[in-house]
Parts: sequence; C-alpha cells; structure tokens
Amino acid sequence: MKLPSDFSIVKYDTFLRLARIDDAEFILSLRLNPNRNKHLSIVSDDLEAQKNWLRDYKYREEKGEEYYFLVGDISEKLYGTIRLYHFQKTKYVFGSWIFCEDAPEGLAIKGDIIGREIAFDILGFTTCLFDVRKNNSLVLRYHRGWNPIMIGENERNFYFELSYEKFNTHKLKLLKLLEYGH
Amino acid sequence: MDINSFVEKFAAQFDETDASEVNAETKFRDIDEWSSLMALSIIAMVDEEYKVGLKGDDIHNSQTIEDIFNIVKSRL
Repeated sequence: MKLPSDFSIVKYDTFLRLARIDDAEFILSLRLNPNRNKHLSIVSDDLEAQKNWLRDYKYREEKGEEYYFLVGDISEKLYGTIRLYHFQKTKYVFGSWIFCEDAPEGLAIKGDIIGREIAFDILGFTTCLFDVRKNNSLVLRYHRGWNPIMIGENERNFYFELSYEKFNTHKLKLLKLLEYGH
Repeated sequence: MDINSFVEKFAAQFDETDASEVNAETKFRDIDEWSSLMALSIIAMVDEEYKVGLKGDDIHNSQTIEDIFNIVKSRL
C-alpha cells in the first residue's frame, strides 16, 4: 500500500505529515543542532543540498519506497522527524528520529509510536529494523524497552529487529504511561 | 527509603550530567539532558528499585527531584 502525497494523521494529540521540500530549513536546523545530532550521521550546513535530498526523497515517496514525516503538536507546530525506509517484503527500517529540545513532553515517543503504527497497521509490514549507536545509552535503554531481538553489531551500532506483536505489547504500556491507555 | 539514595539513583540515569550538580531541590527539567526518554528512564528506575509505578502525570506535575521522591515514598 502507498500513502497519498497529502497524507497526514492526528493521533494521541500528535500531528504527522509527509515531508516537503520547503521543510529543508527546519530539518537542517534539527540535524545541525549540536545538542541533538551527536548520534546522527554528519550533514553539512548546506540548505540547497538538503533541498536536493528532499527532492530525491519525494521521488522515492511517490514510488512508495520511503516515507519521511514531520512531527508536531495538535496545533501543527513542528518539533521533529521520523523516517520509514529501506522497505523489503515484510520489513522496514525506522530512523531519522530527532526532536527539538523544546518539544512537548512525550511528543518524541508518540511520534515514534505513530510512525511505527503507520508502518505496521497501514503499510502492512510485520517487522521493524533499527539501529542504535552503542554510546547513545538513553536511546538504547528506550529501544530495549520494546524487547527487540539484537540481530547484529559493529564497532559503532547495535542492530535490532522488532516484531509487530512486541510492538503492540510495549506500545500499550507506553500509551498508558503517556495517559492514552485504558 | 531516603532522599539521598533516591537522588543518587535519579542522577545515575544521566550520562553527561555531573551527579554533584544534582540534588533534591534540582528542577529536573532544567537539566540539559532532560527529555521524554529520560522521564521513561526514571519511571523504569523507580519501578525496578522501589516497585512503585509512576505515571506520566506524576512526572508532569512534579518540578523537583524531591517532588518525585515524595510521590514514590507515599506509594511504598
């Protein structure tokens, strides 16, 4: 299944929409923030290069190969991004999870949950792949809470695989903590 | 349960913050490393160490580490 180019969703008081070329400045500011980019691949301070990357991405989006989301609050003020990419038959990669320091409490987690819900519930994938830098201990602790299977490692990263079943189990726990559970 | 060991365990969740800068009166949101993920980490620590279930609202309604300590203590 493909998402339409105007796809957006509001859930758990959180807004997600697909990235546009004119989001380049916002995305670049996030990725250049030294407090937020320690564990991301390095990007140059080049707005035109970011726009070009987004132009290429829009082709991949049109073909249903990748989805890059901007995440905001209910008023659609944007605070972060997530990305679903490297689609295989039943698997996808979750990444580009980065949020401003002033994001409302819980928004990054809700963005994570909704992004994976889109992948599992709408796009029909059954397995989420993701990697975490070994020295990013807080994010590692967070992701390990999902009880994923570690499928590999190298000098820099751990590689994990998360099933739809485990996602649903831990999602309920997180939503309860975030006061959206029953 | 004493406040000093609670503060110590709270501070241990942070990677880059000097534990000596953290005390009971510290407003945890003022710590640079504070984030939603850190809040989850605190909730997990409290669950593991004290067998007390904190909710997001407990963190949301607290300002200082002592505020959280008092909630945990009241539920022991």
